[in-house]
Amino acid sequence: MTEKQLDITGEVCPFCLLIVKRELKNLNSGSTLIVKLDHPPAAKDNIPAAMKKAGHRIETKLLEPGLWELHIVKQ
Amino acid sequence: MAEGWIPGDIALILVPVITLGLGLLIGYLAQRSGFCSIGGFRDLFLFKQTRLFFGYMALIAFSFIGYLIFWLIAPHIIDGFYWSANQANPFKPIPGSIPGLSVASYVILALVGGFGMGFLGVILGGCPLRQVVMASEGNRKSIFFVLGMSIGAIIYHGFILGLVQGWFIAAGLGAG
Repeated sequence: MTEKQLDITGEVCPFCLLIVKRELKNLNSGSTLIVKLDHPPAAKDNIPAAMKKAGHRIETKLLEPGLWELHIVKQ
Repeated sequence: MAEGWIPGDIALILVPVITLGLGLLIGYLAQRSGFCSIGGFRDLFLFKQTRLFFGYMALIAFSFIGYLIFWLIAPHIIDGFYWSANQANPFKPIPGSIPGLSVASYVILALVGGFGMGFLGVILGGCPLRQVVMASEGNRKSIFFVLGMSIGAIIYHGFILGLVQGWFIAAGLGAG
């Protein structure tokens, strides 16, 4: 079980979700991807919705106003 | 609001107040819903997510319904809608529009502008309304988007509109 950090601050939709999807492909099942980002629609809507739809577990943390950290456990 | 329906001096105060109130409501609803017209199509095509898309379709449907209701209440205010829907010759100028620009030229301008806004909106992460909402949330990129959009509008209106109008008239798309 690996844990990978991914900092995509500065990226905007749709690139945030595209990058997360690409990184998840390279991970094994059960691995955790920790994503740091600052684009509100991606952090609050797109990525959580896509991850739940794909069956992955996701937890959203607000580090500071405008900066989020998503913990995604690949199914 | 209109000639004769509400006395002029009252309308002078009422219109800005109602406009500000509705603006606050739209801003609140847009922020709470994460509304984004460009995100609706982008997420539909890229990620098969339909939430924003249906929100956008609802906006279009209800603005038509609202427009028709308002037209039934005060038809003399918005005769333009009826006029353009029944205009046989698309090259005739719209009453009250910029002299020389006909329905056809407005359609071309709308298509060019719409394509530009759609393409750049996807690259920049959201439609103008979404960017204004994110700018108010303190998102730096969106603040620069709104700044650029405002300056671009000033430049277009100040220097480019006259040129474009001339091209349309020269191309015979002006006054029909």
